[in-house]
Amino acid sequence: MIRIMVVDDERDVESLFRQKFRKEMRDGLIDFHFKFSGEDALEYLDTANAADLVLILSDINMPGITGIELLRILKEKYAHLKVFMITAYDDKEKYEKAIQYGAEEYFIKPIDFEMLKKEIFSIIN
Amino acid sequence: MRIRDPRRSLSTKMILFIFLNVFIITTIIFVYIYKVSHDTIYSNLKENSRLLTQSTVNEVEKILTAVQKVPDNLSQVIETNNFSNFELEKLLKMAVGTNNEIYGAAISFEPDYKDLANKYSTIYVFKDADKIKTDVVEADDYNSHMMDWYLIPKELQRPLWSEPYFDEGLGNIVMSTYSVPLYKIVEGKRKFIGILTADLSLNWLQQIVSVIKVYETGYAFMISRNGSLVTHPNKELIMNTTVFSIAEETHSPQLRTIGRDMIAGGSSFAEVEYHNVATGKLSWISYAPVKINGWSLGIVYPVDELLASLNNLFKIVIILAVIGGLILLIVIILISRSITSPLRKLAFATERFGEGKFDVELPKIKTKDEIGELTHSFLVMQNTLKQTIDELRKANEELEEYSKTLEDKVELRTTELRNKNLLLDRALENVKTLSEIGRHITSKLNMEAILNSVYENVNRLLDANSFLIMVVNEKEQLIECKLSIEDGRRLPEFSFSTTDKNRFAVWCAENRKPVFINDVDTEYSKYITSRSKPKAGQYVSSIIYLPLIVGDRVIGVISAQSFKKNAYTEAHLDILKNIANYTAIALENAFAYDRINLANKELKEAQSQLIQAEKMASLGQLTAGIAHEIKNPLNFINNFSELSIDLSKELLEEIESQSERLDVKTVDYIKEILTDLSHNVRKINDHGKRADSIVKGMLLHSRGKSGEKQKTNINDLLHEYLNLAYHGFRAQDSTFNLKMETNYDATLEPINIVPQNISRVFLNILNNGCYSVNEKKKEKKDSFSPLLQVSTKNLDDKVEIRIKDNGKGIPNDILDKVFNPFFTTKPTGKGTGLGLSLSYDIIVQEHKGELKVNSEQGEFAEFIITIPKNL
Repeated sequence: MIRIMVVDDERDVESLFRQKFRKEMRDGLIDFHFKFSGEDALEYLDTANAADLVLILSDINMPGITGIELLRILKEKYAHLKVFMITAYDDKEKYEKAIQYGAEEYFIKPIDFEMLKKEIFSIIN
Repeated sequence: MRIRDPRRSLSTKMILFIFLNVFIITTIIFVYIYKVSHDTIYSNLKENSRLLTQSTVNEVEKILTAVQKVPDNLSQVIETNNFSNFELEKLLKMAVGTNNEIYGAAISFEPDYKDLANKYSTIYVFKDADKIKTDVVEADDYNSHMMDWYLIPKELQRPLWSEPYFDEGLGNIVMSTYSVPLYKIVEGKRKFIGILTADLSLNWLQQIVSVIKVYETGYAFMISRNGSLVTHPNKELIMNTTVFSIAEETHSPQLRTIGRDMIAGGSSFAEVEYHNVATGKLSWISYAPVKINGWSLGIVYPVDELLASLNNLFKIVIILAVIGGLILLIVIILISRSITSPLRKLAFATERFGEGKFDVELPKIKTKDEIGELTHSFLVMQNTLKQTIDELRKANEELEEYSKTLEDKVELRTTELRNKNLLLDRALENVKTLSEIGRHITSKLNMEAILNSVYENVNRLLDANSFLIMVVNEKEQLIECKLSIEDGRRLPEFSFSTTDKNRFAVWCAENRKPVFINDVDTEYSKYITSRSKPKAGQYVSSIIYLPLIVGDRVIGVISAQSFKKNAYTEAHLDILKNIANYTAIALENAFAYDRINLANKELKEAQSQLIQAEKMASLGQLTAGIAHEIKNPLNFINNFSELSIDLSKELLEEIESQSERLDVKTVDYIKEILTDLSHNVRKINDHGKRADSIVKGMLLHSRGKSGEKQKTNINDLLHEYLNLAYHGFRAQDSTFNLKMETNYDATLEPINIVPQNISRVFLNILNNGCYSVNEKKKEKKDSFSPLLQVSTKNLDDKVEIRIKDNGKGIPNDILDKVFNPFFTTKPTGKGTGLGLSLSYDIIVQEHKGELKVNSEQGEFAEFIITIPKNL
């Protein structure tokens, strides 16, 4: 089972992911945990529950700590975590920043879920 | 004769000038002398008063010192010896008897002084008539120890003069007592034993002081330590009053101040002023203290008496000055009269002379001075003048005779002049007409109006069968005849090349000189080699051609022509020259006006382009902002609708598999609803995707700016996208076809652009072209053959790309809207309305170029892109 945390200020993301990954979740391959701000995500990471997290999917444009900022902190404090950035902005500058801070993947919304699934499984293997 | 103003006469001025000067100088001298005398007298007076006061005081002190010595010596004798009463009495009698001034002497012992075992406490010796008598007081009988004359010296332990007093017993003699304290050494200690006194009569003081007399009313006085008057000319005041009581009575603070200073031992010499109490006169007072007894002597000086001599001196001086001044005045008047009187006479004579009375008698002045010379000169002048006037009179008579014959001649010449004037008037009339014509011609700005105006005016001044105005077109190397009139008919315009050397007009323009021929058949060879056939009208015989010159440019040619030989004179040439000048100016103005209009039009176009560019820029930012905000919800719509499509499909399959458990009717109903639901969700997804593509298009606006410039071959890029557009369109519609014409400028070097953005522009415009011809094809079917033309052109500093289709064209009323974002003529869903707007941004904002469109509705649409090379 892969435990993944999704960070996005849009709450509908949870419903979308649960439906898109319904099968994988039912089969016990993937477990999603949702947080709706960078601050919440960092708080959760400090708890014992976060020990088996493997991957973080994070939006970039969020109020408070932005995705890029979150990425930087994650890679500093939790170097073992893989991070995928997911954003609506097809923006060269942000892309370069994400790669510079060590994001593993960079997805542009609307998310190509087939591609996302493939990348998630390739990470585990 | 004029009345002379006495104030202006020379003598008055002289008198006033000299007299005033002398007066001022004298006054200054007198004032100075008076000041010096005054100061000298005052300082003398001060010194005198000091001497007088001091010597008087000295005399008084001398007497007092002499008197003092007697008791002083006696006291020492008594202190060092022990005397019996009898001996003491003898000593006292001796002292009184040998000193005239001493009236009496006494000795008085302390009550407890028992050494001598005296039975008297006081022994008093005094003069009575010629004898010296003694009075004794038994001890305890007379309490002299409580008297001032006893107590004060005892307490002060020094000798003391008492205040003056009247001794009633002696008939009001003013007395003063000198008391000396007596001591004796008893048991090694100095002990006070009594007082020795000497009474002094002050009659002598009165004599010394009252002797002093100062001028008429000045006097001297003496006051004691408490201010009592000891001596005074007014005897009633003595001992009865003090200076302070006088000061109070007469309200004289000055006297009070003086009195205070006097009893304080102060001194002053003729420096303090006060108003004498008795006379009320201003006085100076000198005073000095008599140090021995603390009294003070004062001397009063009446100021007016002191200064009387000075004032007398001043009066005499004033009188002398007035007398001297009067004498001076008389002398001045006499002298000035003697000078001005002959002058006045001469002036009178001159005046008469000026009135024409040349034989006026001159005053007989025999002096040899300047006035004498002047009179003599005047006499000489008078004689000369008399002669000259006689001569003049004769000359005048001769002249009158001569002038009579002259008058006839003048009349003749006047008639001649009048005739010439008439001719001049006519010439002036012509000049006026010409200038009016000039004004009329030059006031026009429209070429046609100018031409007509020139022709009308030429007709008024000049007989011409044919009249021409031509304009030089330097660009095309042509001479264009804009106005050609023959016998009042307007002939069509024509032109010929400036290289056609057999034209008079060409010669005229080239040489900038007039062509002036009165018989063309014989004289043409002066200008041209062979005669050309006229472009319009008939052959003529007399011609004038004149160049129209502005600054150093020949802008045209004007010509008047006649069928008759010898039709024109030099005068005609001149008139036409004038008209040519005006015409040239007017035509230049008209050209300039056209140029301005053109520039104005271009300016307005540039302005509207600028406005458009600004509009585009702000719209671009706005759309980018909106697009980003919409993109997120749109993603959800698309994602969830996709999910719903899958879910409804799964649900349908599930129902299918479970159908045997349900009744058929229900299954059908559920299936029907699910099918509708699935259909609806698919619609949501379709429209969501449509919106997404619009948003993507919008976002391209903002993203267009981020590209990097690189050297790109425009021809290759354009060709690549021409093919892409064509094949892309064919892929959608297999029936689509069109003819493509390309014209690439081979000299075009690669230029710096953002290739992905420029290619997007090409694709947009090419796609639109394909769409347009395809639509037209659908309407016109076979009668229409679609054509797409692309060309590039290498301009100096920029590249021009033209893309033209022969499709439906763009209606005029929307031509200025095609670059607005969201503006589209395509049916809903087919176009986003962002293609051309984006293209405009890329060309104008990013590449600083231009994007223009030309179109005719139903015929064609042409997009012209220009990109500067140096970016």
